[in-house]
Order: sequence, then C-alpha cells, then structure tokens
Amino acid sequence: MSSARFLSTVLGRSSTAALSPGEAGEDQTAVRAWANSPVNVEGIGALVGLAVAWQIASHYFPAFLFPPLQTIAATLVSTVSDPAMLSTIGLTFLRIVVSLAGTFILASALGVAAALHPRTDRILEPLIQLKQGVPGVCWIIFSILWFKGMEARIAFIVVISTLPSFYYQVRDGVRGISLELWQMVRAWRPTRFQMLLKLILPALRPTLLTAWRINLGGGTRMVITAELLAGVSGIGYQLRTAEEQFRMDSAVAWTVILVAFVLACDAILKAVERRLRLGAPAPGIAA
Amino acid sequence: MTMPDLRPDAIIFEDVSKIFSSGQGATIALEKLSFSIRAGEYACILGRSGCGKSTAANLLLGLDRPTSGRVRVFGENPARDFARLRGRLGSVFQSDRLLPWRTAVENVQLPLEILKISEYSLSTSAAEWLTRLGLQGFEESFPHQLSGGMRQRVALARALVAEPDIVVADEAFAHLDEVTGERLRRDFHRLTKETGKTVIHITHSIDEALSLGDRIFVLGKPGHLLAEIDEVPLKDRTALRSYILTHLQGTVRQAPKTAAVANGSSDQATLSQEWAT
Repeated sequence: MSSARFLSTVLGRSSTAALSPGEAGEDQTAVRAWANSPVNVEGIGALVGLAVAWQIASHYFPAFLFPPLQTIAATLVSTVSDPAMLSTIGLTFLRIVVSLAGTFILASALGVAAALHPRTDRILEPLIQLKQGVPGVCWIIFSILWFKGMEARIAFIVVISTLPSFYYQVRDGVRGISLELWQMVRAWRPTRFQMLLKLILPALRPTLLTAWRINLGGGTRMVITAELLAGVSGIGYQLRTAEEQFRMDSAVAWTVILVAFVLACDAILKAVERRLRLGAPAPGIAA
Repeated sequence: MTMPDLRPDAIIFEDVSKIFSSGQGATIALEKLSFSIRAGEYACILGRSGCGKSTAANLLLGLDRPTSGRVRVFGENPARDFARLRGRLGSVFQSDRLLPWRTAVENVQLPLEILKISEYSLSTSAAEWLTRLGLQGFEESFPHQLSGGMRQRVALARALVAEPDIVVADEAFAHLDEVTGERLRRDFHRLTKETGKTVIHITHSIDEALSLGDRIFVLGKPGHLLAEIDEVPLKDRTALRSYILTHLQGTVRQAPKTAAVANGSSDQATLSQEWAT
C-alpha cells in the first residue's frame, strides 16, 4: 500500500476529492512529507503491530509459546551481560566472519580464474551445478560424518553453501568489465598482478560488496544450523538448549542477537558501498 | 631537391593480414598491409569505417597477433615481446576509457603506477599534464563529473604522462563536437610535436589527416594500403583531398552492392556526405 493510500486509510478518507481545495492541498503536502520521510513509518507501524499482537497472545497462551515481551527483554539483558554468553556470541560471529572470509577468498580466486580461462570455467561449472542440486541439510550430515572437529564441520558447511554464490558473482563481475578498459590497461603492459590490482579488483568492488551482503544472511543461517545440529557451542547450540528446556524467551533473545548482528553487518557494508560509489557514474549527470 | 629522411623506422607493418574467425565464417580485417613509420613522424592512417584501422592499432599495441605477416615496433614484436615495450607506447582511443572509480589525476597516474615511475623523475607530472591540457582545478573530479571533451583531455594526459616514444591515437577526436575536437586536435598535435613523439593517428576524416599528418596512409577495405602520401604539409591540400577521395571511391566501386543501395542511398553518396565538410 502506498503512503498516500495508507494515510487516507488511517485518516478514514477515501480520497481528497471530497475536501475543499485548500484542505486537499494541505493534505497532499502532508502525504508527500510523510512519503519522503527517511523514517519508514509504515514499517515501524508493522513492527509495533507485531509486538502488540505478541503481547496480546502472551495473555492467552502459556509462556513457553508466547512469553511476555518484558520477560524476553529481561532474558536478552541477562544474556548480553553474562561474560560466558558474550563469548558464545563472539564465537558464533567469529565462525561466520572467518568462514565467509575464507570462502570469499577461495571463490574470488576461482571466479577470476574461470572468467579469464574458459577451460577452468568448463571444469568448475558441472561441479558447482552438482553441488547446487544437493540439499543443504545433506552437506550438514556429510560434515558430521567426515569431520570430527566442530570448527572444521562449520567451515566446510559455510564454504559449500556460500561458495557458488560468491563464485558466480565474481566470475560474472570479471566478465562484465568492458573490453575497452581491459585493452586500455593492457596497452600499458601491466603484470598479471597489476592487472588484478589496478583493474579487476576495483572494478569488482560493487559486485563483491553485493555478494557479501547476499551471503552474510546465508552464511549466518548455515553456521547456526550447523551449531544447532552438530555443535556443542555457539548460538545455534544455545538455541537447541532453549528448545530442549522449552525456553521461548531465551530462543527469541538469541534470535534478536542474531538479527542485530546481520543488520549491523549489512549497515557496515552499505556504508562501505556508499563510500566506494563516490567514483561511480551518478544518474542524471550530463556528459 | 629534398634531403632523404634518414630517421630510423619506429613502426613496420610487413604483409600483415588479420582474419577473425567466428561461427558465421571468417572476416578479413587486414590483407597484406605494409607500411613503415619513421621515428618522430606524425603519421595518419586514413580509411573508411570497417577498413581495419583499429585492428592495425591493436596489433601495434600488442593487444592482438596478426594471422600472418610481421609487425615490429623498434624492432620488437609488440605481442610476443610484450614486456620489452613497456612504457614506450601510449594510446588514446575514441572513447576516453577512464576508470570511473579514479579521479582525473589518478587516471593520469595509472601508467606511472603500472610502469613504477616516480613523478619526480618526469619533466611533467600528472597534475601538470592536466594543467597543460586546460584542466587545472579538475584534478580531483571523477570522470562522471567531467564533460566529454574534458574526459578526452584526461585521456590525452594519460597517454602522454609516461613520456612514451610512440602515441597511438585511434579516432581520438571523432566523437567530440567540432569546436572541442578542433581544439583538442591542435593541442594534441602541438604537445606531441613539442615532445618529439612518433604518432600514429587513426582517423576517417580526410581533413583531420591533412591538417595533422606529416604522412598519410590511405587504407582500402579490407585493410590494405591504397596510397601513401609523403610530406603532406608541403603539398596542396585541395589536390590531395581529391586524390585521396579518388582512391577511396575506387574501393567503393569494387565493393559489392549493399542494402544501402536498395534504400536509395549508395555507399558512394554516403561517402560524399560524410566527407563533404
């Protein structure tokens, strides 16, 4: 629903046609101001509505299904103020970041190689397609059977699940660099490393940031799932404990922490993206 | 009686052919093209669109290899001995080819970074080149903040900053408006002459070739030498113009009939319109 329609609905007016001309003008100005506001009023309204619905449900259902918001808040505060729990949070976040960084480096190398050497692409393509056909949960089972250590299992699962996305983004990003720019830089006879440093990586920056933003959520999900099914530490393990103890407040508190992590990372990536976009052509600027 | 030019050859094309093969067959871009350019000479390669001028530029820059024949730049094979010609060839193309994530001065510095040349060792720094080309105050501007003419000036500065021996200008002023193009042509000619560069200037404009070139090589389609004109500045331009046109129109007569003829506008007519000014 558009902002204008939402406002009309909220105000109980089907259209501005029934208003006096002056009133209609003022009303439309208010609608525009609302629509252009940097704060997503509708989104906040939806979240508040959800919280209210939850609170109402907590009055009618037992606490292990819908604990009151104040209980969740208290659990959240006690979780983030407990050093042991903080180290659990840190461990999971470290697993996510390190596994994703490792995957990113590996996939970038493969993606660049595939873009520059068609034979590499022909070798990798069927392997990646085969991987895509195997459900994620199967890889978790394989990791439990193949690896003894928790960290190795998690790293394997994250690499397997996020590598294709990183790989395709990098490969297609390199392929998307214009032939004109390739020729211009090559005419100066750079080394391969210089080519990578001066052209490929800077040209790929927006693509890589997008890949990170896409894979951050996926990587987080896979780490949590691995911890949940095969772990003895981390947020996923804590979620499993909460489930076994019927502690919905604890499960929601851990979920909030995870969501906060993903949103914070996304905000950081967005900020970096904005900074890097300084050099990108802005729409509407005449040549 | 004029003295013979004893300058050594900087560029040699010897029976160079280039054939591009694709699923739909083979396209001959160059067919036994032969010419040589002496060091310090301003040579123009003139020909109609699609006659292989840019292919010749790519072969010269070492970006591609000939199907047969020999290309030599200072005695080196530019494709095989790629690294040996590092820093000796500069290029400026029809589009500016600026890196959008770099500022104007950073774009000009690109060759210096690749060649690992310190700006202190050069007579003219990147920023000074921008100033010489009329871009003082725009050093920190990104390409999208500059006009087409300004961007092409940045590209010219980039081509000249590393003080290469040869500068290849591939239709470098073709897409600019007449006034901007004329100014840039003049600046480019002056700067390359001042610094004693060998210039290979690829163009489809007879007037551009006549006003800039010491020597003109007229190419027919597919890329072969139709005519070679020496000592251009000493000769009568009107006579040269009609001489070149005669050669180029000769190639049109040899070409098969095209769809343009059926549409009522023959290649001949298009050619006359293109070069009427």
